[in-house]
Amino acid sequence: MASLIKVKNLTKKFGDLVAVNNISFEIQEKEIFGLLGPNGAGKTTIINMLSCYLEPTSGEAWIADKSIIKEPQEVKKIIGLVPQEIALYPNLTAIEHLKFFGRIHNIPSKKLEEKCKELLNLVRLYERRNDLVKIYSGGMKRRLNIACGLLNDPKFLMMDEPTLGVDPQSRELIFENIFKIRERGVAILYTTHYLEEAERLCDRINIIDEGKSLALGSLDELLTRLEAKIEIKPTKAGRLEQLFIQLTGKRLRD
Amino acid sequence: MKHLLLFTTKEFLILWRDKGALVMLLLVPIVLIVIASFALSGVFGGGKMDIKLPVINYDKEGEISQEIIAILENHPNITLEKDISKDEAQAKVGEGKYPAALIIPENFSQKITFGEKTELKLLYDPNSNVEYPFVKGVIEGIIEKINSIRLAIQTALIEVNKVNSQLDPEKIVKEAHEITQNLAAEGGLKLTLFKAREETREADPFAQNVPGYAIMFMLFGILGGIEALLEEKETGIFKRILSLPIKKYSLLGGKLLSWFLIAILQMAIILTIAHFIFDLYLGKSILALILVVSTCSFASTSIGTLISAFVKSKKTGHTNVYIDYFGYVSFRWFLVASLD
Ligand SMILES: Nc1ncnc2c1ncn2[C@@H]1O[C@H](COP(=O)(O)OP(=O)(O)O)[C@@H](O)[C@H]1O
Ligand SMILES: [Mg+2]
Repeated sequence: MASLIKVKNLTKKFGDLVAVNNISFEIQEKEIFGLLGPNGAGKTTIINMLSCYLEPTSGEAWIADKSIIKEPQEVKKIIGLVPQEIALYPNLTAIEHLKFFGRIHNIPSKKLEEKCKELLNLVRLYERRNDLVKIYSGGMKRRLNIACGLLNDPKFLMMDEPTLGVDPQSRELIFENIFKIRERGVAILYTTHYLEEAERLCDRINIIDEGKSLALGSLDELLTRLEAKIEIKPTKAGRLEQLFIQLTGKRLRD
Repeated sequence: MKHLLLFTTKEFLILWRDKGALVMLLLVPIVLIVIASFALSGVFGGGKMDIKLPVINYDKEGEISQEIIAILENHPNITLEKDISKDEAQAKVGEGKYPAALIIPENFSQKITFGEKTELKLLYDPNSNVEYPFVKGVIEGIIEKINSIRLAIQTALIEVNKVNSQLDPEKIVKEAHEITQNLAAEGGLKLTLFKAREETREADPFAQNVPGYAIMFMLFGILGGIEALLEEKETGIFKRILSLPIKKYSLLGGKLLSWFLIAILQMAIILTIAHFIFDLYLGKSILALILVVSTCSFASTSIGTLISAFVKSKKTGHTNVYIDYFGYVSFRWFLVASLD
């Protein structure tokens, strides 16, 4: 089966800093692909390039055979983005957000009504749809942030640390939603620095640091392949955590 | 185009809900204008009026002129300045130091008594909006009184002469005839008004302050718009919108259009309030006013665009330089507006 997303030798430099260094991977339909790395690893920069916000310094990527460099307008129609930041207007309500972004997607108004209702129910904000975002809790904002990325039924959904600062209840709901979205055949790129999230959610994981890919594969693959080389101790810390620390080192990232 | 309107309506909705911004955009400028105007204004500031009125009397011995001066001297709101030459009075009224100056011509009393044509002259400053009309009202009142007294005296005189008609009937009839004719022709004593300078409206503190403050706060409004734009860049909204299938110009165009419209509305509201509540003089041509307002709005929107084009993020060092510079420009404007 041909991959839905193909990323080839993607590189982004900011002056002397190589934020993304020659990264390649592919993602299939219905796959949850994790980008796991400490702060500053280059996760957001990869997403910025795949969502046509930043131009790569070199390399290429295709989403459903559309080039992010040559056909950005086509790419934008089939992707969904959940930015790392809470990309919402404090003075608009949930329903106003969905309608605003939906109209940018040129969704006909009748269909947009239905879509809004469906998404509000999905992220459990239907009851609060007419409240201003500024009075929402962190978890509610994160959930709306996600709903806004789903309006156009994307084939490829990018979620940049979507659980940052939420309580366990909202996190559970978000995970539940991600599995539901995957069932529709969507390919999902999920970035996180929480190991247990990657462990629970992702079919395959790409561990990156300082812009470089350190290891790529399913959790089991990663562990068996690397356990041979790296000594994994039977301690309290999870196996992935030991692996992660082994790969990325103990230097603090601020 | 559809997207452009979508963005503009969204901006307006957000602004409408942001009461703080509305207060900054409209209420603060109006309050500031009112405070500054009252503080700068001698007319409004004093409480009880005390008007200094120069009188140049060429009818030194005349009883009627003495009477007029006495009436004015006893007026609670008027203090007479009598030791002043005509030239000096004219110059000072022209400079706005006095609201008006009263000139009593030679042989005034005598002419009044004999029903001859004469007039009181009032030299005035057209830019005095309160004091001059007040003085004029007082003097017109005096003239009315003189006219009715004169009519009474002359009628009485005719009657007395009729009784003494044996003295010279022909002469008396002739005299009476002349007096009546003069009265009919002249309609009595008149007040003639002379402008001491051209009307400029310059002296009105509102006229002086409103446009300056309005433009200053328009710049503040645009500054707020730039801040909001930076915030959008930081909060990822910008990124989200640019990841949607939309032309970049709709996003920027929507911003510009809404800034432009907000600036125009802001100016219009401030000027309207200033006009109807504080009687601000807005010039003779509505069209010219609209043109000026639009041009100002357009200019400040352009400044805003220029700045936002340079500004990458609120956090980077460069940004603050531009924001500070913009703040500096607005501040300078404020100074110019308040000192001018
Ligand atoms: N616009 C930019 N200009 C300069 N450096 C940047 C920019 N965006 C990101 N970086 C740098 O690139 C590196 C990767 O950042 P990022 O992709 O945000 O990491 P992550 O999302 O994994 O935390 C960091 O060192 C960051 O400081
Ligand atoms: Mg990031």
